[in-house]
Order: sequence, then structure tokens, then C-alpha cells
Amino acid sequence: MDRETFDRLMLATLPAAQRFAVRLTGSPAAAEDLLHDALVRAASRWRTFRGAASFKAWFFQIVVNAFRDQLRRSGRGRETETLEDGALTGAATDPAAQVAGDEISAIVARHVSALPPRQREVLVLVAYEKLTPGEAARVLGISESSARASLHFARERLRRDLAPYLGDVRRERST
Amino acid sequence: MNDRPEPPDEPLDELLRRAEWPAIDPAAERRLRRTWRQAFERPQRLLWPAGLAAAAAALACAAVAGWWVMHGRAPGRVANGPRGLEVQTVVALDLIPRGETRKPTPFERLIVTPPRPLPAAATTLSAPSPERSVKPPGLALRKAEDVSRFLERVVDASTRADALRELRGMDDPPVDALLAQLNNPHVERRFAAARALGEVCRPEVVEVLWRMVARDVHRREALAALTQCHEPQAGRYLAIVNDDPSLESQLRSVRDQMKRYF
Repeated sequence: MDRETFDRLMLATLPAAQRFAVRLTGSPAAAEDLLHDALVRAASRWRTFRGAASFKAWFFQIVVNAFRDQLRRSGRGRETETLEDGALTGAATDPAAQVAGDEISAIVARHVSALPPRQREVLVLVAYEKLTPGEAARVLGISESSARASLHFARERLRRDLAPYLGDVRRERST
Repeated sequence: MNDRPEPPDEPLDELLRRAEWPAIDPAAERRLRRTWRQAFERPQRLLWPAGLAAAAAALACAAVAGWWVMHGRAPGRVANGPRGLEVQTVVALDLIPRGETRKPTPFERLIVTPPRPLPAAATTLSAPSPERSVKPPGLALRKAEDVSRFLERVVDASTRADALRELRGMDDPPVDALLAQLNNPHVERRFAAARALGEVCRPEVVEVLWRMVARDVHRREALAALTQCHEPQAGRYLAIVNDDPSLESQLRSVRDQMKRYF
């Protein structure tokens, strides 16, 4: 692939990558930081893109690797910065109070971005980027069964944490 | 579980569809595009000198190897005969031209420069000095829980000014304790510690923070502390960071973050 095509593909993928990074990190500022790292890496490795895989999958793989490196460097492997401060405390126990001050859409987003990193990566790729578990596994460099397991645990955890809101959704659907 | 497809859970999927993350600032995309341009064009510029250097090095190696084969063959050794003298081959490294690379950025030059000698106090920044141990009551800050309470006051906008005033009034501010808090698991407290360090940043504190930046040890928090510091040297360091393409966006995002908190 020539440089110009690669450049064009990168600029076209950037908005999607930004959305992906915000979902992973939970914060636009942290996402910008993450994408900065990923873009610098992609620039130095552009020749390794053979065109066999989709460009988006190739670049998302770089974003995920940069995300893991950031977590490793900061020594905070479990939570993202904006979600470490007890922002979720009580969300599941007192949904009414939470909803009063916060939209349910933001609460769900916070819970997704607070999942353990591997579960978060798989869930975001499958639920929002519409990848199959097998494709997500290739992006993440893990086996498909491992991706399916992470997806299962992520959904289990969300079912548990968002249980009060799930009841509301069921009621909405039945009426 | 692993090989079965995940059963559909419509209410959960419905909730996931509703999730909304904080909006992306359009300026962020412009900044990232600029980052991409800078990063993608740089290797192109480096390609020529790097290629030339590699070719020159390969030619030089081939020439040295050829000369060695023609003139400098080592004496063979007879299995049962007397041992010959061991001759060490000397490779004239200076004959091999050094490769040309890009010039280091000011940031790279600084981080490979040995650290400037610090005053003795810098190694134990908050070493107790008995003759200057006047502290406002309730702000000894030697215990972890005191520091934690202090940082909570800094986080809280209604108590921040008082907390920082008390800190400035201390003869022997607890710089070590605050530096340690740059690793606090709570992001607000980490940045509160950075905010507080900015209030007490003497030249030796600036040097410690700069070393943290250079070694990528809590770099974001150290940068945050430097942005709050009024020492001229901190400004000079930040100017270097600002000129470094690999760090500039990090500094900008740290500044945004500090603005959000304080």
C-alpha cells in the first residue's frame, strides 16, 4: 500500500478511533492521550500493514496495545482515571438518586468504561464496533474462546451492576 | 460457556445502545490530525540519511572483511602440533563511518544529560530542621491520613484556598509526602498533590519533578505540578516539553485536566 492511501485511510478512521478510545478510557482527555501514542506508533509501523486485514482492525489493535501499555505504565490496571474515584459507588444500590442527577445513558457508559480492561476491550469491540467475537479476538491478539469468555463475564457484570435499570427497560418494553 | 454464542439479552443490549460517553471536543480531532501529520512525515524525512548511513556501513564492513580475508588470515592450527601464539584481531572501528541520524530534540538532549547536582536538601526534600519546625496546628502532614485529609481540602473548592495558604505558610512543607501522593489511586488526589506541589516548588523540587517527567515516572502528574509552579526553571522545562512532538499533546491534556479540577 502506498503512503498516500495509508494516510487517507488513517484520517478516515480517526473519528471512529476517537469514539473507540473514549469508550475504552471513559474520558475524552485520556482518549486523546491514548490516540496520540497510537498515532505515533502507527506512523512508525505503517509498512507492516499489508492490506490483508481491515485497516480499522489493524489500527484498533495498535490502540489497544497503547491502552494496555498506558495501564501498565500507570500501574492502574483495573480502572480508568475518571472512574477511579468512587463515581460508581451506589449506582447499583440507589438508581433513583443516580438518575436524578445523571442520565441513564451516562451511567451505562460509566459502567462499561469501568469494566476490567480485557472485558471492556471485548465488549466495546463487539457491542459498539459490531465485530464478531472471533474478529475481536484477532484485534486483541487472544483466542476466540478467551474473547467469548471475557464477553460473557462483561455482560454478567453489567447485568448485575445495571440490574435496577434493566427492570425499567423491561417495564418500558412491556408497555 | 466459551464456545456457545452469547444468548441475546434484549434489555441489556437496549441499555448498551443507550450508553453515551462524554462528547468529543472537535478541537481534539484537529490536534490529533496535526499529531498524525507530524508523526507520519517525520520518518519520510529520516529515510534518506538513514538509508545512506546503512549503505555506507555495509560497504565499510564489506571492505574490512575483504581486506581481512586477503591479508589478515589467521594462522591455521595443527591438531597435534605446538600451539601457535594467540593473535587477537584488531578491528579498526574508527574506519567505519558513523551513521547520520536526526539531531536529538531539546527534550532528548536534556534527558541524556546527567542531572544537575542538587543541594544536599534535595535528596531528602523535607528533612526536618528543628530550628524551623513551626507548623500551623492541624497541618503537620507527616501521617498518611493527615496528607489525605489535606488533599481532600485541596480537592474541595470551598476549602482549597485555606489549605493552600496553610501549606505556603509552612517553613518545612512536606514535599516528600506530596510527591508520594502523585501515585495516589484517586486521580483527583493525585492532581491535588500536583496542585499543592506547585505552591511549594523550590528549585530542587522542580528538578525532582523534571526527572520524573524525563524518566516517565508519573509523568502526567509531574507535568501537572510543573504547570502550577512559578519557578522560572519550571517554565523553561515546560517550554521544552511543549516543543517536543511526543510530549506536547500530553502537556495539553494535563493542562485541560488541571483546569477541570481547579
